[in-house]
Amino acid sequence: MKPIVIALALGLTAGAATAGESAAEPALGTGELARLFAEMPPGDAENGAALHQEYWCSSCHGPSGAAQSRNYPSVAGQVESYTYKVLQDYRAHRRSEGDGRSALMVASVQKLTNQELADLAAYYASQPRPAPSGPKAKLSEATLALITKGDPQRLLTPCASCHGADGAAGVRPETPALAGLEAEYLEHTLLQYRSGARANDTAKGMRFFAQQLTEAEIKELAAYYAGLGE
Amino acid sequence: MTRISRRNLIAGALAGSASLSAPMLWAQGAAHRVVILGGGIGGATAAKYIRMINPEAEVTIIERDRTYYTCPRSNDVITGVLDLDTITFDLSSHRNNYGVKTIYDEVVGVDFDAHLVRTADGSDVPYDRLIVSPGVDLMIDQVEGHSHQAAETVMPHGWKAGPQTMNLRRQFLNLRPGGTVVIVAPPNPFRCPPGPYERASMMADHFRHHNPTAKVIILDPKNKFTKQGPFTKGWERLYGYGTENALLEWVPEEQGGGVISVDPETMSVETAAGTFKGDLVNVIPPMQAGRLAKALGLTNETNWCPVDQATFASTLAPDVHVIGDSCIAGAMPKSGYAANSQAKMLAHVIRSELQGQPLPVPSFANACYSLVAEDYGVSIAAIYAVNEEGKIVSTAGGVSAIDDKPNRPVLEAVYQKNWHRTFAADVFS
Repeated sequence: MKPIVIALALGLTAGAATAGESAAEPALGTGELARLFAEMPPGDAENGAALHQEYWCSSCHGPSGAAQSRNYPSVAGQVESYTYKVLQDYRAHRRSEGDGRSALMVASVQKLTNQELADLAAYYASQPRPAPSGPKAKLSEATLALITKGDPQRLLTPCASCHGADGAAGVRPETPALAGLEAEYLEHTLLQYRSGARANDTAKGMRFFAQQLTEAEIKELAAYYAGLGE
Repeated sequence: MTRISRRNLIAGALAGSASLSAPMLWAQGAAHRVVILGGGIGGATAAKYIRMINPEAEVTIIERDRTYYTCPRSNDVITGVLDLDTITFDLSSHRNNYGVKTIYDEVVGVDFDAHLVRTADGSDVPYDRLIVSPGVDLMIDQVEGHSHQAAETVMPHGWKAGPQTMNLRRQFLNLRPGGTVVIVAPPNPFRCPPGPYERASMMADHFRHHNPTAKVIILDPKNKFTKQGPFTKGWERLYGYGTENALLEWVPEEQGGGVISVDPETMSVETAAGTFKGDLVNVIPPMQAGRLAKALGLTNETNWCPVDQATFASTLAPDVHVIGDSCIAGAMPKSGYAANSQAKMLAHVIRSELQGQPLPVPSFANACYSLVAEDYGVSIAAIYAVNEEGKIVSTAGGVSAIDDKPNRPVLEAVYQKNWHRTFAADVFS
C-alpha cells in the first residue's frame, strides 16, 4: 500500500487572495504621515506575538515572521514604524493594487486597533532579520552606482540614502528594511510602484524612483537586496 | 448482441443491434476507458485528475447540461451580492487542456455485464470503469401539498444552482418592505449541511441594510445543525437573534418546526407550531441519491448508494464507482469539497486497479466555509481515514472558535470567497 496525501491540496488553499478588493484610497499626505507616527502608541511585542498566532499571520508570514514560502514576504526584523504604517494603509484601503492580492491583508487587520497594529509591528521588529533569501548577487557597475550614488541624470537619489548602506535600516520612519526579502517580492513591488498600481507612498516617495528604472535594473536591484544580510 | 437488463434500463426502447466494437476494443488492449456519468464537481474533478495522473486513460464525461452552476456561493446570488456568472462553469477546459471527451446527452441505461452506457441518441459508450456522480434528487412529492409545478414557480428550492437560484433571487429582491421569508429546511442527510443556515444568514444581512423590518424564519425538522455554535453567535451579534426584533428566527423540531404540509395557493406552511405565511417560501425537500443512481439500481433501502468506502466501488454493480452526494461515505458530509476529495482518491484507485498496482491508503478532507454576513465567515474542517471496519471516520478537525477575536470572522469571510475561487479553478480550469 502506498500512502497518498490528498491533503487540503493544490489550489485549495483558502488564503490565496482576491475577492472584494475595493479601489485604493489615496496615500497619506506628508502632514498626515507625520501625525500617524507622532500618535503611534508604544508597541507591546509580547501581545504582538499573541496576535500573530491568533489571527493566523503565521500561516503566510512564518512562525516568527520569516516567511517559509516565496509567495509571501518576510516581516521579521522589519522597521517597526514601517510595519505600523503599512498595516494602517491596509486597514484604511490605501494599499490595494487592483489585482485582488490585498484583500486578505485588508481583512486581516480590519478590526484591529492602533494599539494592536503597534504591538504586531513591535513583535516583528523584535524578531531576527531574515537570512539572505538568495545568493549574493553580482552587481553591474551601473546598478551599484544607482545604490551608492544615484543617477543625477534621472534625478534618482541613491537607494542606500533611505534604505541604508546594508539595506537593513530605514532612515525615515516609513522606509522599510530590504535586506534578505524575497527577490520575487522586491521585483513585484518595484514593478507595482513603477506602474503606479501601488500608490500608498506619501508624495510618490517610491513611485517617482521606480518609474525611472528599467526592468533590467529592477531585476538586478531585487536580486541584490535579496542576497544581503548576515 | 449486447444485453441490457431491464433493471438497468431507464427509458427508451433498445435497438436490436448494439455495438460489437466495445468488447473488441477491450480485447485489443486499448487504453483504459473511464466513463463518468455527471459533470458536476465530483465528475469533473475525477475526469481531470484521472487524466493528470494516468494520461493513458481515455476519459469521457456524459452530462445532460452544457453549463454548470456551483451550489457554493449560490446563496450570494440569491441575495444579489453576486451575479450568476460568478458561479457558472463548463467543461471546455477539460476538453482543451486535459483531453477529456464530453458527450452532452441523457443516459438511458447501463449494461453492467457488457460494460456499455447507452445514451438517449442510441449510442453505446464502452467503459472499463464507470464513475457515477449524479448529485442528489429532491423528493418534492414527499412534502405534503407540494408539487413539481409549485417548486418551479412559487415555492422554489434553490438547491440545484441555476434557474432555481434565479427564481429565488427574483422573489427575494422583490420582497415587500417588512415581508417574511420562510425557509423549510430538509431532514438529514442532505446536500450542503450548512446551506439553509447560510442562506437565512445572507438574507438577514440583506435585510439589515435594505429591509430592516423584514424577517426570515427557518422551519426545521431537526434540533441541531452544523456549525450551530458559531452560526448562532453570529446571529446574536448581527441580527438580534433571540430577541423580539430578530431579523432571523430558527424553529427547531422540538418547538414544532417540522413541516406537516405546504400550501402554494396561500403561500403558507403548516407545522406543529402553527401556520406560517410567507411572502417568499423556500421549500428545500428531503433528498436521496440522484435519479440516475436510483434508476441504475445503485441505491439500497436508504435511497443512497452503498460503496466500499476505501475505493468507492459500488457494492451493487461491478466496475462501477459512485462518488459525491449520492454515495454513502461514512462520516463525510454531502459537500462539493467532499466530492472533490473523493474524486481525487478515486483517480488513484482507478489507476492502481487498471495498472495492477497496490491500492492507495485512503485519506480525505472536507472544509466548509459559510457566510453569516458578507464580512463574517465561519468554517468547519476535517480530515478522514478509513477504519478497520471499512468505514470513513474523521481523524482530525474543528469548527470556528467562538471567542472575542473580532477580526477572525472577517478573515474567514475572505477565506470563503477565496476558497470558492480556487476550488472552482481546481475543478473546472
